[in-house]
Amino acid sequence: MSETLVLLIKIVVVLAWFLVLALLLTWVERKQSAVMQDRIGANRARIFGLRMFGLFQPFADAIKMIFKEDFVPPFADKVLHTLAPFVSFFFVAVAVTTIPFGPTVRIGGTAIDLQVYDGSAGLLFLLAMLSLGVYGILLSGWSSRNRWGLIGGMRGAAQLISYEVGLGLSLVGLIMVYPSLRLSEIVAHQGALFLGFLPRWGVFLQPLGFLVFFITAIAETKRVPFDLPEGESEIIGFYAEYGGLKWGLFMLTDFMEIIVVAALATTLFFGGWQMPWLGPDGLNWPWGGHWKMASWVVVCLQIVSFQVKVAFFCWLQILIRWTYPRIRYDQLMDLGWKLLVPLGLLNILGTGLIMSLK
Amino acid sequence: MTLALVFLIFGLLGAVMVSMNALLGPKKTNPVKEQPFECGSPPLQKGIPGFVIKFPLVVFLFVLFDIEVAFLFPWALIFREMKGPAFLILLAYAAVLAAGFVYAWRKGAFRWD
Amino acid sequence: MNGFAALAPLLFLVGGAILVLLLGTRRNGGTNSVQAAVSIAAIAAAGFSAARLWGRAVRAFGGQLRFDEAALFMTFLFLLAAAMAVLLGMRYLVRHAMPRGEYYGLLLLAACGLVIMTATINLLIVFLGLEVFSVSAYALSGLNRRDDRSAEAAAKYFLIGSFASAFVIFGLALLFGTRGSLDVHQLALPETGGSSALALTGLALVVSGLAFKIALVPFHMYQPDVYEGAPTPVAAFFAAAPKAAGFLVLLRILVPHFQTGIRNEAIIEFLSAVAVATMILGNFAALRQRNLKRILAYSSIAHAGYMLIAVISGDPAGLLFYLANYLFMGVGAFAAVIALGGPGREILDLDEFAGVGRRYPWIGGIFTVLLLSMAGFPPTGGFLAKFYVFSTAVRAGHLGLAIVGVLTSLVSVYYYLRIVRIMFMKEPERELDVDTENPAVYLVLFLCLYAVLQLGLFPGNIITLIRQATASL
Repeated sequence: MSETLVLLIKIVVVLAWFLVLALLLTWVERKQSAVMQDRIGANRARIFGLRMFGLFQPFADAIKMIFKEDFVPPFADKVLHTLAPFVSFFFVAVAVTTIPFGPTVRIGGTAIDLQVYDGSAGLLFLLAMLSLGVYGILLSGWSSRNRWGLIGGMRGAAQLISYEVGLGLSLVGLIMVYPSLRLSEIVAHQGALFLGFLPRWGVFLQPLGFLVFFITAIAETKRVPFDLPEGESEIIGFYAEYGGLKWGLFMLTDFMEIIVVAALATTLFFGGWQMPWLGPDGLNWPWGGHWKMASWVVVCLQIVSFQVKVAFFCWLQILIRWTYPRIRYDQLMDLGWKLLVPLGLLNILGTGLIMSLK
Repeated sequence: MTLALVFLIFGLLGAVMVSMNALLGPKKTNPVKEQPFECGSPPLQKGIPGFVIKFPLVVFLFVLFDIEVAFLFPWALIFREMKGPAFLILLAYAAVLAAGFVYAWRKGAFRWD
Repeated sequence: MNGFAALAPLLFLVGGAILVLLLGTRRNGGTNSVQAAVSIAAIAAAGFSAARLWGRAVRAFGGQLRFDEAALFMTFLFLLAAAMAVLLGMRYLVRHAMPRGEYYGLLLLAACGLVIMTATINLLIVFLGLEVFSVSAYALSGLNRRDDRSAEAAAKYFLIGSFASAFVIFGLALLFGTRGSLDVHQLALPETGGSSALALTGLALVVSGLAFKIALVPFHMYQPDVYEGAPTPVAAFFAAAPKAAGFLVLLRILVPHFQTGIRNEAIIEFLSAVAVATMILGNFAALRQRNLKRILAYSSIAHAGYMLIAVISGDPAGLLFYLANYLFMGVGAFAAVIALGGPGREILDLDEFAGVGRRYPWIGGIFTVLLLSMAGFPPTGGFLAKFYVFSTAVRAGHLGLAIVGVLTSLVSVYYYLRIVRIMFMKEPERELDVDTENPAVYLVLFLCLYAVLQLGLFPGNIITLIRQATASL
């Protein structure tokens, strides 16, 4: 029974973390764009005269969306129209449960993994869930019975499935280096050092793999510069016929995807919750020397290290989103098929060659 | 067990969020609102005319390559244990994959206009 | 490295296919003969490496790949059929502006699938080979993309073929569920538990799926349409090769089953009914056809019926001899159709053949010999093949089947000879535009003529080979 309770608590905590971070990211996005465009950005929402740099803005948005009308166009397919945002949200949300947030901790004699679902094929599960998100796009475009929506949905489907090939290929090299599909094991592998001082992080062992992974993953979030499915500023996208919280779910999904990609990049390529040189008993400096720490301090440091890395990658993606212009459809497909897929293959070949020579 | 609980909780949350507007929102409509969204101009035709989708080829390519990627995962897992022959197998496999890729490219599967 | 020696024939075929496909993407059109040469070279290399395996009882990959002599004999047949189809295609592809690299490549892959089908005793691997062949075959039959009938043939073949594949895989699931193995020897074990009904259902489904590929009545409907619509060299390949593979698999399943399995009487009765229906329907339907390719299609159905008699009477040697014969008769007949075709258009209607025998005596003469062989006249191989099959059937106690076979053969004489009569006796209404610059097709024609006569007059060598092959079953 207590196991179920622990599990419930973990799920709720992860869910809360996920949703709050997603809401916060909308604020970060607006503030970041404001900084880059020399504006002030959202700052009007206030509670009792307290503005807090516009931090209340996302919550105001959420409340506004909740009380909007549930408008399903009379010509649309009612069931699919409702199903689409659900599908879109659900699979991305499920994906985050495979991410390990920290090491196994012992509280009162019971070992608790700071991870909701540690499947033996966790990575494959995660990829599968992420790729199921394409149904949300396709269904929304199809069920809207709006030609712009449909074209946007088709465009989105073509983009997402094209980049999924590169995404899969970029991770094969990683699996060769850390022979496991269990995300907790992949993170555990990254705790060791090589060359005496570098942590065995994926980014050092698989630089090319990381590059391909990061580009394809950003494309999977379908944001600028890869935002052809929606193209919020000019072209009309797959959720043209959506409003209220259903539209909000698509928007939320976008930000959740950012978080999942950031968490995945952290877990696979940047050591997950591992902090460089931090062992279970304290810091071991590569030049010798040892700082002893209590184990709870170590765990806290590791959890914080994971959060910092995730925050950094979220911010990096927002930075990219406001830096680059949208690329054209043919450029998009060329990049995916003619550059990233061969690069991914090359990465596997190179990894295989180096590993067999050793 | 874990997954079932995850699916249940996340599914419930999603269902609540999808149906929240229906419960809390107003219900007002007018004829203009019920038209398809066309950037403000009235639609010229009803419904969706048949249009050419250029994506079947992309879908075929995706199925081909993604299945091949799926085959690579188990191979990558046991790469360390297999040592020498594993790389030879990869070379043969990658050669076939590359041949298919070159074939698709030269046949114009990657022309997007 | 024993495994790779056993894999060599397949590797050569696949390697050749990939090479040809890549060559086919080049823009300049002068590579047709290069592609054909590469294909022939790949086939020759595969044949050579297969010949080296003869008599060595090669088992590789945990016994999954098993090149016994029967499989090797079949491999030679497939390779011959593929080589002849390559030769037939050379000029035909140019005449009909069809994609070339795809033709040669898919042909090699199809042959590869057939080799896989025969070179194993595990039914799952058989299914794998079946799919490799089928997918290539669907594409091959739709290769003439400017022709609606070709597209129709491909669509029909694809739909019915997937249906047959579903039959086979469902049957395999049932068999695996009841027997715990897909090894043909395990399937034949006498059943001890109560699940024999399921096992028999599975067997029936697998056999039905194979019957689709062999085109036995009542699973034959697609065959005439596919033959008519598919490009003629492709039809030539389809005429013999997949039938041969299907029959060998049928033999591999049924021969051990007849020895130790259960309910053999019922199986034999069922197969006899199918054989009778196939012979009667194939031959009588051919009587009514005016299109040469459709006549050949129905005649191939009828021949499948004769071959099924050999399976029923437990006569692998007779079956293999018949298959070898039919390979040359079938491919040769289609080769004659190609040889008489004009640029951009094929002559298929019977009436248009009036007088071509006198105008092109060599082609007409060879065609006549091949048709006579199909009808079963001595001294051709067709006669000996039918003679062996029917006499073994009588000896095995299937007198009725033999009688039906002989009677329907008599019926078939009518429509075979009608072609000959039209070619030689009727006055032509107008001059035919026949493309005679076609040496590769003439080579195939003479090869088939030679083979049919050799098999009919001096069959000793080939029978020695077949004896070794059947001993390994």
